[in-house]
Amino acid sequence: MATPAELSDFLAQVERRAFKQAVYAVRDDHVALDIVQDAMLKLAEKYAARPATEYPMLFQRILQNAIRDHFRRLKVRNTWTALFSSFSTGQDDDDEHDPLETLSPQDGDAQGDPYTQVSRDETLAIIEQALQQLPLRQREAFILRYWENMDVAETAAVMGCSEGSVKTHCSRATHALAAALGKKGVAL
Amino acid sequence: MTHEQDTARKIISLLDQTTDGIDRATLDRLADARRQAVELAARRVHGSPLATAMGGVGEFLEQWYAQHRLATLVALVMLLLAAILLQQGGHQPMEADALLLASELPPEAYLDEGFDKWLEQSALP
Repeated sequence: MATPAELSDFLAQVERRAFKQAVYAVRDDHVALDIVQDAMLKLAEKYAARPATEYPMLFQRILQNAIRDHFRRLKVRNTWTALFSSFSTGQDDDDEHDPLETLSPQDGDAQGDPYTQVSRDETLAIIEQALQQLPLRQREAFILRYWENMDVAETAAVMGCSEGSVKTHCSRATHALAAALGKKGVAL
Repeated sequence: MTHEQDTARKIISLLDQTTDGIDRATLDRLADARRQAVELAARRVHGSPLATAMGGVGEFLEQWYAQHRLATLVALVMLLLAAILLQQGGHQPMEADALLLASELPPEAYLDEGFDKWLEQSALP
């Protein structure tokens, strides 16, 4: 059973990424904050007695469910808007070129230079925009797998899908992000 | 590490930087939420046995209601309607009994099918 200190440490470590995840999904800071707060309270209410090692998966599952609940409510309120985003697949079947091949690593950058700071902020904004434009499932898989450092099995358990689906979503997400960043001239 | 994983790692390293730009008000709210969650967890785990038992019953009822919300509401509305109808319908037999007992005519008179006609005719001037 986790101690209150372990729960506090876990939440402190995950809260910023959780907020960002929610923002990328719902595109509203206030709603995202509510979602994260609800997820934290639900974790504490339902799973306080679980070992701390189970918290990452439990919290992510709660968070993803809370985001999905938000979209279900949105779908009731505005059918057309939700329908459009639901049918978006994010695939470009005509583009057979592998965008990953065009990216080249860049070593370091000048620190402290205002131009660099603006460029950095623009780059981050481009990445966030590209992430927001991913289909929900691809974004979920990418964030859980690579940002939350979950393995394929854990990601599949949180998302409620097969491991093969996780790999497919991750691959498509990575290619889509790389393509979007490449189009904007962002070199990784 | 595959090329895909390498690309993802580079994207993630930039994503990590986005969390540095979260404003102070949001960070404070997140911290408040975290504190509330920790307090709630402490109460859930270390509460009194009676409170835990009551909380367990309450939690069961809460979960049952959450899963059967519509059915519960429909049942409550139907119960309310039934209670109202029963209350309204109950008055009629009582009023009829009082009328019957207070009447000068014997009860058999009211069973006579021609009695109503005779009453109408006798009421005419």
